[in-house]
Amino acid sequence: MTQHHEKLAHYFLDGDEEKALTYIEDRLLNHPRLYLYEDIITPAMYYIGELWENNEISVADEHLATAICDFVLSKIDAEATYIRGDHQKSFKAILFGVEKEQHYIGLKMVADSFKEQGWRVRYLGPDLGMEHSLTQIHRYKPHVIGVSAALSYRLPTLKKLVQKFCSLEWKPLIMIGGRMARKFDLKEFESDQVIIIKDLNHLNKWFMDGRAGVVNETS
Amino acid sequence: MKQADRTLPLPFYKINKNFTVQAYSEEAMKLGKIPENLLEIIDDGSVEKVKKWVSSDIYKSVLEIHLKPLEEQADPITADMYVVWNNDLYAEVILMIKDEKLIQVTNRLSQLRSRLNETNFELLEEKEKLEEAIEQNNRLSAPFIELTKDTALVPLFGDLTSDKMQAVEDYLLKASQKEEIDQLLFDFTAVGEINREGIYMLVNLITSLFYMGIEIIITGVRPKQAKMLHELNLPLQVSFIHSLQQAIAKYCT
Repeated sequence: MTQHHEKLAHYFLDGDEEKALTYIEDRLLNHPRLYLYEDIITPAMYYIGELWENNEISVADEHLATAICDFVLSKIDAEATYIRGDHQKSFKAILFGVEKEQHYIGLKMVADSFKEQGWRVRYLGPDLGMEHSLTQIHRYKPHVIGVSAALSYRLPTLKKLVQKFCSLEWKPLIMIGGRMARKFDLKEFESDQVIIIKDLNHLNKWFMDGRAGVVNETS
Repeated sequence: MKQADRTLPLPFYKINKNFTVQAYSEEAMKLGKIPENLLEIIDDGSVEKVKKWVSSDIYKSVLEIHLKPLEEQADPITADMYVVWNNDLYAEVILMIKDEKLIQVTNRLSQLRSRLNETNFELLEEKEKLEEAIEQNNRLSAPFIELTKDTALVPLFGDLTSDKMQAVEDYLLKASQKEEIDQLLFDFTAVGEINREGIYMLVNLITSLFYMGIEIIITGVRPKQAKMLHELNLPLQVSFIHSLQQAIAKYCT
């Protein structure tokens, strides 16, 4: 039997957005979104990476799969009923991918996870220049700044960003995520103000028990 | 390592089993300094792939790989790698950098995506502004007006929704506690649609006010609204008066 994520990966690769969407919506009926993100969509995208390593698909196929995945995520995001109005928390988060970084699917799922928790979210997308991100951050004054990077070449930029963000006067919490957080040892970045988020489960755990710290800090 | 005798208009390398470069073509120099070992110019993410597919067990192979970015560039270069083994010891490798067009299409796509994202972002900002306006509007649709020392009037405006009731609840409770209010008139004259959750919230609010020792009078109820109120079993202590005029005449003289 083919596994869930492999099946989905093939819908992505075939460019079949309808089947991919139906497949995901069916799963959503009796599974939480976190399961879908962490145990189906993420493995599907990693599986696509493996197919490339096995010389079975090309970069162009990967681009197509990414676009379909993006579409599906946007669609389920638009259909989700998030916590609104008075129940919405006053916490704010800004999320973006460092300059030149083109990988963003993970970040998008992170944005949705924040929204699901009732946060106000500004998802700025991948490849955001430093000046631009700082302007937005100064205007929005978020409690959490999430930066994502996949490739090791982004390390110098990431370092600069984290330094800048650490000197912001209202002391936001800085989260580093993306494939880099999984593959490389980023311990040197970690501090009271900077945490490394390995995956969505990790983020969810932070929501469950780590958030109290933020509440105390900011309220 | 020497420059190959053969003149090929493409980056060409002759390597041994350990990927050590034995010879190269002139074009190969355009991909940066000629490496001692071919793996040096391969992007980290592609090294395993190359090791797997470039091996003397596979006589011929074609694979797509990423090369490390050239000095001034930020992104890895995508290329097709053609490999043929002459014998068990040496292989000939040709690298074909991907067509510019693919890169153009990729860039174009990502531009489109960021434009979409910006539009999305602007929409989100507008939506938040609108939500604030609605919230503001909600807060203003149940003003607390003191008529006399012990009587106040709360004219309700617009549709009775739970969002609206939520927005005014705190304010009304505080306002009625602060003053020496004994009677509170809720005027329904300007109320539009009523929904179930909204009226439910209103009942909660009225009950809370009642526990604070305030007499509640509801005025200006229309027939359709009366039906709904009836279904909801309001606390009995609430009195109803046909019009605001009558209520004022009764309580404010």
